[in-house]
Amino acid sequence: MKTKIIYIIFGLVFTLSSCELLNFDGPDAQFHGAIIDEETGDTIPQDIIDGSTIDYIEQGFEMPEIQRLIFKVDGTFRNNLMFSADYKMIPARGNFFTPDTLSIHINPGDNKHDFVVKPYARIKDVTPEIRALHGKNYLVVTFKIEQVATEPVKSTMLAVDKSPNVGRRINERFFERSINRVVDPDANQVLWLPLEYFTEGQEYYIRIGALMDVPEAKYNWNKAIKLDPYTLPMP
Amino acid sequence: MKKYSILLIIAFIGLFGCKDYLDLEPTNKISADDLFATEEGMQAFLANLYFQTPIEDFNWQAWYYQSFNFRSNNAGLFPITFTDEAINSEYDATNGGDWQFFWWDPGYRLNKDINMFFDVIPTLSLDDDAKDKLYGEACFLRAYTYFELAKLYGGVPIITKIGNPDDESTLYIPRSTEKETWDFILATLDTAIVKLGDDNTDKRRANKWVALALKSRVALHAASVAKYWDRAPLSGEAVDKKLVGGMTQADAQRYYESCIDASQRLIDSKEFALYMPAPANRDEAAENYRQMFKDPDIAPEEVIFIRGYTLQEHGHAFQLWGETNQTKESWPFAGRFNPLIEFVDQYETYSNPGHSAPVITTTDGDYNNYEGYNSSRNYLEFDNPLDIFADKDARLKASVILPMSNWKGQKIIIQGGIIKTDGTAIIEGAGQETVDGTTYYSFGAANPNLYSGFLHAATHTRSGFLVRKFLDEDFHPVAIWASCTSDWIEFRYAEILLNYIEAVAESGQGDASKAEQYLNDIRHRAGHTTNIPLTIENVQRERRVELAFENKRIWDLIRRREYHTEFNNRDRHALVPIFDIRSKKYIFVRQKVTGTNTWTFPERYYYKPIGGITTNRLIQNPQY
Repeated sequence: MKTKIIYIIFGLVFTLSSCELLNFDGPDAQFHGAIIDEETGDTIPQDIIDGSTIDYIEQGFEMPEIQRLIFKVDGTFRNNLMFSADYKMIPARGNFFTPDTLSIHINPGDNKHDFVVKPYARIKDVTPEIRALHGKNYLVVTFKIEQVATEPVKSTMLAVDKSPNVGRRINERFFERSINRVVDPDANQVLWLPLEYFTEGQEYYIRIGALMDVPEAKYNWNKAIKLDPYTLPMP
Repeated sequence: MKKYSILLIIAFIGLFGCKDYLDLEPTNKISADDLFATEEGMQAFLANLYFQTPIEDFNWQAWYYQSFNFRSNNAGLFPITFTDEAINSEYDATNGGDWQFFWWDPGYRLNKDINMFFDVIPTLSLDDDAKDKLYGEACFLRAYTYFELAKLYGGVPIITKIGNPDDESTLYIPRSTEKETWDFILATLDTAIVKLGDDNTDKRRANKWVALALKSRVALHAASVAKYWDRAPLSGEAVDKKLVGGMTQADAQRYYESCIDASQRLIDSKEFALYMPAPANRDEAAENYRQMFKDPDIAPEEVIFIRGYTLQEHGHAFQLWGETNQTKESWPFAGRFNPLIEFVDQYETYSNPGHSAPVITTTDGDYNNYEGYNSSRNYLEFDNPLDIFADKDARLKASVILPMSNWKGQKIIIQGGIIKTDGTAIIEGAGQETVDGTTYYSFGAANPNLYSGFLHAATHTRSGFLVRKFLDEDFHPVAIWASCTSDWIEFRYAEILLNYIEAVAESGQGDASKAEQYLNDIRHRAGHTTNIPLTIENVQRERRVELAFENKRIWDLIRRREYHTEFNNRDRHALVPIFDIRSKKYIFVRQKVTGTNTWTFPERYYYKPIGGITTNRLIQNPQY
């Protein structure tokens, strides 16, 4: 009887204690912030799918893999499952001039960091309206492009969706127009879509983007505008 | 005392037990020495190398983690459905994400087997001539393997010896630059060309001409990447170290020259020619072309290299997936390959040679309107729906089953709707109207077994077209995966001509008048009589048309860096035949394929991610 109890105790000790050391600690840090235009102080709107990224490498490994954060459309980011450690970070392949690599220490708990960069371009004075042409109504958006990069503007894009995440890859309707020249910041640019594409009484989010002819560049967008195209003024 | 005797026995066994006679060779395996001791063993090993060789045939599955020789249920996701050639009626390849084709591990396993073969050749009891040929064959297989790796990954580790586990430097071999990798492949092929024999009666094994054909293809690929890298430049460590990209325009010119040289040698040899180069009429041209893909054995003058299939369980499934709904018999999974209208548009008309000829459906001629049927537009009306394609290049009807055309003695009914007598349209939905005792159905017939289109079932085409190329009218589907045994043409003379033509047009090297003549030779074989000039646009259109569904388009889009611009939020489109009951005529509507999403090809997909970089210590490709 006594030996049986001893066996049971041994058994319990082994089963209860043995798995402990094999477990690593889970993610213990949150990391969030935004990508900020160094001139205006505003966040730089982004694409969610195939948009700008923050590449980060956790230090202390021989062959580390590059990990990536993506942005929300408003230019903020958040990762609630980070490990506290030293990192090298770089916002890369985006709609802004790539800054230098940063060394960032992530502490356990909440960490906030804003990346201050120079965008390739800014979209200004976005004015949507209805115009008639050949007996057909169009949603017409005029806007201006303030170039920061000196390369030509490759294309402009009007994207429309019911979701505020509207962008190059998330849209119900889009019109992309080749430009391929440097543009005058005071010149009106224009993009349009037939009004019949939209349902009356439905609110849509529209965004205007300009893509600079820089390798791996992403679109520079305005902040999404919410509207029902049928209620727009008709000059 | 007893204890001691036990100890003695144990000591005896311990000391004398390690006798050689206990080292038995396994009886269920063949050792390398035995295998290579006989001619048959060596042939078996070589046959296995050919089997593993990345030939992009009917069993090439560029879908998820599948790769070559895939013989079970592949969902009909053949590579043609990842391009602008066709769409799969059941699974819509979206956002390029499905084009996840990895071949790192199988590629390097094959490379190890080829390295083993290289080691064995000198030990074989053969005469020097036979050894030379085997050496050439090994070079050919090595080049083929590295070609696939370079296409997928850019610069890769070049491993030509089997690694020694005790010597780290033979195990951790870093990536070569992309340029070094292409140069290595071309140099390996040069050796193969010298060593291989020039008898081409056996189309299933490498000879000098197959090696030249491969060189022509490899050099064109390398040249295109070098020339067009700037259309989709990438960044990162792999780019900085030139493991991907990093080639100059001078490199492009050099590779184009290699392509021209290899193609020219093959052309000048007069060993090959176009099959049936001068048809009496367009119908004959179409039939000749179709027959060649149905049975490549009838065209030895055009065919350079074949992947053959013999056994029913070890064939492929192209026709199982490709058969029309009306002719699928008891087989359940037909109708998957749906060619797109924008692909059909590429075929020239005989009356306007030298231009793609979009199918015009309305009097205003606006073929970019894909908004669906609109009663206020004026549609062109046809008594016979085939009339809308009447003037098109003969290869169209040889490659595509057009709406209401014949297949296996049946009229293949592909109809998407009706316009009722009151002017209402029923499109891609069930409906019918009886007028003067005749009932007209929206899909062209009363029940789904009697028609082949637009039911929104996987067995019915969504685009208005089905694939005809490669199909055999004598084949009856049976419920065995991989039961099709029609052979695959891996290299044919027309491709070599097209490679030559493209290299000349892109580089300005070579003989432009010859190139123009070759371009028109291919077109004359298709029933054209008017010559067209040599331009980059004409070359690419001819390539798309002549090599349709031959798994070439996907690489053309990649090597010329056109995928990301062709597939940038792209919709894919259908041609919907609609019967207007009022006029008793057919009209056609160009519209988006119902139920599909836009598709975008991200630029990082030009190279695939390398697996296991934390253990193999290699530098990863950009953006992975």
